[in-house]
Amino acid sequence: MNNFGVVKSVIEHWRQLNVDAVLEHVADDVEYHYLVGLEPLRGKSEVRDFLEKFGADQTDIKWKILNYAENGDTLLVEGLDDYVDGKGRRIRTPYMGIFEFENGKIRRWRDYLDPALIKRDKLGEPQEIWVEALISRGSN
Amino acid sequence: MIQRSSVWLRILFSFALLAAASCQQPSGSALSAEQQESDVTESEALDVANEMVAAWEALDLDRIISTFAEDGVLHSMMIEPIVGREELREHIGKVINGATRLDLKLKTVAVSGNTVMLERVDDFDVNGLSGAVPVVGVLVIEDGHVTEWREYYDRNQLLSEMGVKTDYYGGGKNIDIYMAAVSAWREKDLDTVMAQLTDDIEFHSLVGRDPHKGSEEVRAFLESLSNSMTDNKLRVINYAESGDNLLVEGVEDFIDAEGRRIQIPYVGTYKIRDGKIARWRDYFDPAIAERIRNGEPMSDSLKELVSAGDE
Repeated sequence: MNNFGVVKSVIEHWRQLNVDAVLEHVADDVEYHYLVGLEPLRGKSEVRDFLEKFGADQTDIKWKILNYAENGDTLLVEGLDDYVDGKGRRIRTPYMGIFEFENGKIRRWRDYLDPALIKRDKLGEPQEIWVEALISRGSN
Repeated sequence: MIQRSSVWLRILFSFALLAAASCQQPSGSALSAEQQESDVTESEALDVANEMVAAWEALDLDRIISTFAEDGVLHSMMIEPIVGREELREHIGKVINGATRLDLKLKTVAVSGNTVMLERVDDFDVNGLSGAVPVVGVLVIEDGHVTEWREYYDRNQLLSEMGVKTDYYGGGKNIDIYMAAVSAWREKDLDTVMAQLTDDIEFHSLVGRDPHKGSEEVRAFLESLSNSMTDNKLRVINYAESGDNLLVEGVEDFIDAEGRRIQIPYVGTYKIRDGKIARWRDYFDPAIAERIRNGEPMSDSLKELVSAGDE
């Protein structure tokens, strides 16, 4: 499986909230910045705890990649995080991520986004039209 | 200049050797026509090599290019050769652009016929960083110009000394356009930044905020931003491209108007059209800068991220 194939598989399994299958693709000593700026998660068990908590009450997960490019074992993606949270609010956030692979597994994973966009969705405030324009690319 | 005088010493030394060699001719006999011709070739070849060294040390792009033959080749042996004056100008221009000082410290100069070999230590200040790398260059001279220049060195060492973590020059075209904008941005050269953007540029300085549309809006935005910062060390850590798309991970690094050093890891995606950037979207968490402005210490993990490329 090539590196982008691994990311596609991670997404497919995450949509099913199959954390075990997601973690198959992650190195034991993975470093995961789920938001660059906050402390990263280190090692599989920290990532497992996070994913199990984060995914616990999510439904209708439509996370998708809209744009990507690879350079050796580095893969950069632009995508849309898209799910319904435990309180029934649809969260749709344009974001970018970077994956660094080692031996076919994700060794480093960093996601970049402005958390203010998630907050708007949680407060039920409409996104600005330019954000909607980015979101709508992934909503067909 | 010390380096220059050492060039001349080496050349004089070469002549001394040639003179000594000619003394070994059978007693009293004049130099053979062949020997004379070879001496002239070697002395001309040395002149051209010396002119090339001087042109680089002067960081004079026109002079460097005109010392190459029209179809001259510069070949760093570990990457694709750069062929012809047009390509040479494009590539060497980029190197010269970021450099403020370059000394080619010559250790050995050897000449054989029309070929000059320079063993050197290239000692430079590039993009605010100083470095030195040992190099052997082989220059083939024809009709007063360098037709082929083969360079042997450790490219990883060179790039790391230059503060470059990713090798742009072996890569695709999209990153070159972005790097041209980045270098100019660091120098507050907005004309050159704008020259890399299409007229109908759509510029999301942060995805989520209102994008700036068209050259005029973007220039006004960049001008005010540029005026509010000093010591701009924006740098690229990772990139990848596919077709017209370029994706980059980098570090914003500058001193703000209040004298605080702001360092923010970011990623961006850029759409290229006709050799220019038409769509620009940067992603990062603005709270990172806010925390620095509030005087909160940066976490070790964030420090580690922003330290990339900051030698």
